[in-house]
Amino acid sequence: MTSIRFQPANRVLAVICALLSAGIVAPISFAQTVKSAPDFLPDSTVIYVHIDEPAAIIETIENHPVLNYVLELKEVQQLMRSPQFAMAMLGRGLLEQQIGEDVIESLKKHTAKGIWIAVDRETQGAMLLFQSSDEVELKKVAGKVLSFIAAMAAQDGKDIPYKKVDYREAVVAEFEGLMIARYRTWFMFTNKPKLARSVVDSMIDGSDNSLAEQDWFKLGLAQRNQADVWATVDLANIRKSARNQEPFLGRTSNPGVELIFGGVLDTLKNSAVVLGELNIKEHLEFSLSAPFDANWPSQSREFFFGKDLGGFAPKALNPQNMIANLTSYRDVGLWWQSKEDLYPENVIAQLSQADSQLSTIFSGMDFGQDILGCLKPGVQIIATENQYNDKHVPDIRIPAFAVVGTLKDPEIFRKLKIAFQTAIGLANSALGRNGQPQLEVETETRGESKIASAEYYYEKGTEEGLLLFNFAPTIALQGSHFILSSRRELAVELSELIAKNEHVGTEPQNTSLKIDGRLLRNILVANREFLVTQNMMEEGNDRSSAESQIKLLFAIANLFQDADLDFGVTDNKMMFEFRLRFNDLEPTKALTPQ
Amino acid sequence: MNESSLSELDPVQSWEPFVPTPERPWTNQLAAHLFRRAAFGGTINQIIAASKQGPDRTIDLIFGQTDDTAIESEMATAGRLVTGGADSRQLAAWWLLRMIRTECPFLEKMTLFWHGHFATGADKVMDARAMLHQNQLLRKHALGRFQPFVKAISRDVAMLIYLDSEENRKTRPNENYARELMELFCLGPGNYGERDIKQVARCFTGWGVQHGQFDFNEHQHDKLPKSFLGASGNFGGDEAIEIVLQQPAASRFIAKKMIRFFVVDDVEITEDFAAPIANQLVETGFNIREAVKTILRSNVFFSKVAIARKIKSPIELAVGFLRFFDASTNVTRLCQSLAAIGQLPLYPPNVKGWKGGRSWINASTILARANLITDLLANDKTKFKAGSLADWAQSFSELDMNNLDWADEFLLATPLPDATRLTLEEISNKSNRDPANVLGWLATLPEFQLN
Amino acid sequence: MNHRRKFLQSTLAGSAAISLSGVIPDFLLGASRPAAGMGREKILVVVQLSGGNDGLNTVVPYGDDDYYKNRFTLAIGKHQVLKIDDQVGFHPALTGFEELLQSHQLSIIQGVGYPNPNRSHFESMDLWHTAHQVNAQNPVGWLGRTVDTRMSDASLPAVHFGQGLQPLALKTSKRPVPSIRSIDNFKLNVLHDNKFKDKLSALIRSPRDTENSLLSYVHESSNVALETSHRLEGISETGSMEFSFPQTELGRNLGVIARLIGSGLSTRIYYTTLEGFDTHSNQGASHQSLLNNLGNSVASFMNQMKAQGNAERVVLFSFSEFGRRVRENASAGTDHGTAAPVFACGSAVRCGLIGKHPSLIDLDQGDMKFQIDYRSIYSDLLKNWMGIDPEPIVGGSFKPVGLFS
Repeated sequence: MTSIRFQPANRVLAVICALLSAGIVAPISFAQTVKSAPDFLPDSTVIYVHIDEPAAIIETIENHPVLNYVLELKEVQQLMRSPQFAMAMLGRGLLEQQIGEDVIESLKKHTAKGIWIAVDRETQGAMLLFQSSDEVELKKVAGKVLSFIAAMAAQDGKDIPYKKVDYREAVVAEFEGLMIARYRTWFMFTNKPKLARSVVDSMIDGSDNSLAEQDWFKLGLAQRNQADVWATVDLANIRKSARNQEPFLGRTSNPGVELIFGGVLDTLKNSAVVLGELNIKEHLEFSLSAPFDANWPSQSREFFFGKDLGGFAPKALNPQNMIANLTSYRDVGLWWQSKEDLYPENVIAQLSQADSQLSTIFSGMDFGQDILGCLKPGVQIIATENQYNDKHVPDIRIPAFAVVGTLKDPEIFRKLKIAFQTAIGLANSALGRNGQPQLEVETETRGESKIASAEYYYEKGTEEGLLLFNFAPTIALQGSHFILSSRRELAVELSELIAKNEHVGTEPQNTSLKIDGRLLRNILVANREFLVTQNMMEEGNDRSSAESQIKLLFAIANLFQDADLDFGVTDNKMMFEFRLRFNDLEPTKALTPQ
Repeated sequence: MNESSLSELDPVQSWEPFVPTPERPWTNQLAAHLFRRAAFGGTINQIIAASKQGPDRTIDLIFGQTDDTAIESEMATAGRLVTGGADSRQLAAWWLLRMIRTECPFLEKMTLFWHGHFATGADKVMDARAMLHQNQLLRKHALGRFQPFVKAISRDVAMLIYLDSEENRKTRPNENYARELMELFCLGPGNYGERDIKQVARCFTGWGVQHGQFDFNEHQHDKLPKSFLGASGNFGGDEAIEIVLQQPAASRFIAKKMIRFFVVDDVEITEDFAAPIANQLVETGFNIREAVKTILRSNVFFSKVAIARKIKSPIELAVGFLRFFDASTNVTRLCQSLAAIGQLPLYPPNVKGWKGGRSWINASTILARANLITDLLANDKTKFKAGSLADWAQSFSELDMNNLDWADEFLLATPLPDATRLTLEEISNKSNRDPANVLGWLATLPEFQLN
Repeated sequence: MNHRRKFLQSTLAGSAAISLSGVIPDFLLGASRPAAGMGREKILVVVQLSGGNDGLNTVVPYGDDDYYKNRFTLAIGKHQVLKIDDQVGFHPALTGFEELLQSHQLSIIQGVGYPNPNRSHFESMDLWHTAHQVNAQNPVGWLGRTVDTRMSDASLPAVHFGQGLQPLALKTSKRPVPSIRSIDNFKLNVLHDNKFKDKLSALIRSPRDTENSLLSYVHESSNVALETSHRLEGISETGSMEFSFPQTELGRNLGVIARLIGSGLSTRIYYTTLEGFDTHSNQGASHQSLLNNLGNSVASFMNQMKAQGNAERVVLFSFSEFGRRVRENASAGTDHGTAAPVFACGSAVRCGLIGKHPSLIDLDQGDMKFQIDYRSIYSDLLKNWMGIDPEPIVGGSFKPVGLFS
């Protein structure tokens, strides 16, 4: 057995503590120009993040049921019995002995007045800043941590891993690729010495062209809400340095990206700032917002925002066992028509080629004009848990999917049905050639809805467990609503909901997404055996390790109750909000299905 | 002894059970040799235990392995799961995992032997479930009797697809299956004529696949009399198989193939030499288990005629290496490496199976084989008894990187030249005796390629 | 381990001696790759078509009505063939061969086979590979014998390029011929950038017990691998060439062979394979794509040789183990047959048809009778191209076919 060797985790801990307490040995100097971070961060700062009350957040996390839940998981407990963890704890103990207090308490104290993160364009540097509540205490702790690091290095027979390079009245220690500095109650670490020096200069001498003076920053600050973590980004300057890069020109040559994010690109092209907020309470809430101007979007983005930004997503349908629902205002027909304005030549050529290929499948109907073009604006995509009843159950269970839109003219459904039959026929001819089971088309009328579906026809007992039982491609018409689904049952359920006009109402938004954590986890659990097998095949684990990794995955999936995301614009603001809710957690029920 | 000829050996004495004597004691090396050939190599613990138990007990234990354990049934389920997506490459990876994890490696080795014998390529069959069914069929019959085995494989969907029997009509009998039945499965070349092929093909008319299952279409069956290999009658496929297997050449052919697989690569196996095994096959109604048992406990198997006289197949190389360390890895990735050195399970190069022996080795594969081991050692997905190689090696006092006795004793089929070993130990010392380095270097040496 | 200790005592300097004694081969001491301008020796490139290429649908006897009677669904129409003369023409996919014919670089030898045809892939291929000398425990190939006879001292006399197993044709009795799948990967990773590199290569090379022939064989192969790896250092698989090669395995292999020849390597025999000619059912589309691949890859290769100034010293020879039955089968495919045409390409070969197309009426068990024994072509290639006495290699005297007259 050699001497105690520090594991990487310990080293990280040690360095963090060193950073916390860096410049403690400096003499305390008097009455110098220190104000707050924006007053001494350079004017070339492009990203600014501020955590007002770190101690409160640390406390929230410490007491959060999620943390308790995770710590009580059997798998995590096992991890905590590992030698690596023991070494890390030993390191922490030694460090605490040295500084004479709990590491977490120390962290709270020395970040009591805030944490800041800044990214600087000029030096390509990043900086993390803390402000302590107690200058004397900070000085003491920092000195102890540095000597602790030195002692540990000596024990390993290595050189002290830092150099003291004090600058003016600041105390500075330079590690490899990392510099830490303390001035008064402030301490910082950065990868760029130049950035550290310029900040220290401004702290001492003051600056009349600091971040605080910048228009974009003022604009951001004006819109600041109360939030645990708040950030603002200088979009204009980032745009300038990323010149001629696609997203900042307000366009993309990827049609998929355009369809989903097209409107956001208008903000990236035009807005001066982007603001971010994160709240860590019982649940997680994250939002991004930016100023917006109704004149920014070009005519060709009408498919995205609707006329005069008036496009709202259809109300969400809520079938049973719904895993996710994405509903959105998108005029896909208009999108297709606008492709000449949206994309460069080569992409248009590719799209046209795809169009003509797809036209063969859809019995001569033009994919863009006749198929996408027959839909009114507004599409929703739904995923539900697949129900098999007493039918064949596939070995791998994937969700059922459906797309719901509205037809401009319900009569066109007949043509769509012919196209559907043609596509199934083409698939059958390919399947038949390869000796695979083929699809049998059935059409029916249920109440007011018309349904055409194709199910696999198989010889009894030959295809047990095959993936194909996840699929029964279906189209349906209910009123003017058109449904395309991977399962007949889902199409039927959706048309009934539409007929009864049952929606879950929310504030109208351009785009909304909902995800049900419980059902998402159910899907994982239903595929447990498959996931274990995959894990053994890909990770080299034996069965029990594979099982415990999958259990851990389930346990973590069990944390999430649901999540939702809203995106919308008004005349002057674009807003993106994300909420993640945790389950009511009782650690003892630390779940894991049998 | 002149190794290029077995004619100097007394065949009867050669196949009699090996009994250790003071001159030829039962050692770790011999136990390791047995595990390398009958399975995919043993772990150090297994080898030590076997060397205490003696050859008879060890062989009985190997033949006593049954596939009714939890691992085997989990593997069977896993096979179904990985074929749910209809990708045969995934199934190949699954089989590798099974070979790595199984508690009856002897059965897997036999299954692999028969897969090479009744070679069927997933690239042509294009049906993962059919390949899985065939794999199960090979395992089921691997140690049974040969005749029912041939009858079953002749009805196997993957085989029928592979040898074009799907289109086997009486007006146009497919000669492919009839030819391979005699040339590759039962008799070997020179023991039948072109005419026999045409006649046997007529017996199999109407055998085909319908809706993914074996189907006998009576209307397409040629009901007229056939005459071949000295027999005449209104035969169907099963009778044809019986007649073929009654040929004296059949037992000799199968005996030679087993001897080639288990005993020796590089010498001609003469009729005389194979005769005792062939006779045993005839006497026992082609009992495969008994014949293999005779081979694996024989004098000749434990003699220098056999020891280190085979080249590891790529699967033996990789699976054997992993099993030696109780290790596993990302088998999907391993499949790619194995394909590159010529042996991806379920993808034999042609209906003749893998040629084996010297054909495994050329300048390209010799580098790639060493690189495969280096890659296994460097890959963090390779778990040595669920941990790192360094931890594993530390827990094993035998695995001293400063003294490579263990390599000669347990890992290698033939000892390293003294000078080579000394130099290797010296370099090992200079590089902190890192077991991954030492094993990587060992894998570049010619000795490592022998089985 | 008693013997070991004794060894330790008796040779204190044992390991040092081993690492310094004659294990450093010549090529490490200088004479490695030939300088520019050297290596003007003639080169033979073999492209093997595995599975039995349907000769009748490759060089189509469109002037013969019996062809159309026997190939009721598979026949190539009179107006589709790329005419060679008023009797025969290429399959329409062979535009590459037509181009070579027009630029006087292609010789088509018709009706090639051998007596008592064997219709098993493996056995027939073995016969072609060994020139009918297959009956030995470790048979040697005809090109292997060529290497043994004339080039056993040369460094890297022959190379097999491709994914499959090494063809028996290249099997030598002495130093094995390397098979290369990829130049870029042709190295030992464990030795890459390693401070013990030289010592470890010496360990691989140091002498072994010669009693175990298998060990000797593996050892020899390892030595060849190390040496080849050294010789290939600095040659890249990628980078531009004058002509683009089809993105097929054959196209890539011939592309790399072109690169090796262009780099001035002294190798004289290159070998590669195109698989998939065993067209028992639905032959039409698959055969067309095989021939298209063959024609375009070979044409790119010959064009590249011209651009490199190597056209005069390279001959490409392409054969298959047998042709196919005259009459197509019930599955729109063809079964194993006998005689078929073979091809030789290069500025040096006699352009055009050699020999007559075999009769489609005068058959032997439904198969065409061969006109020219393949060993005559081997004899021609050996004598008049490689400059070596063919008789000991092909095992007898076979009249050359006049490939180079």
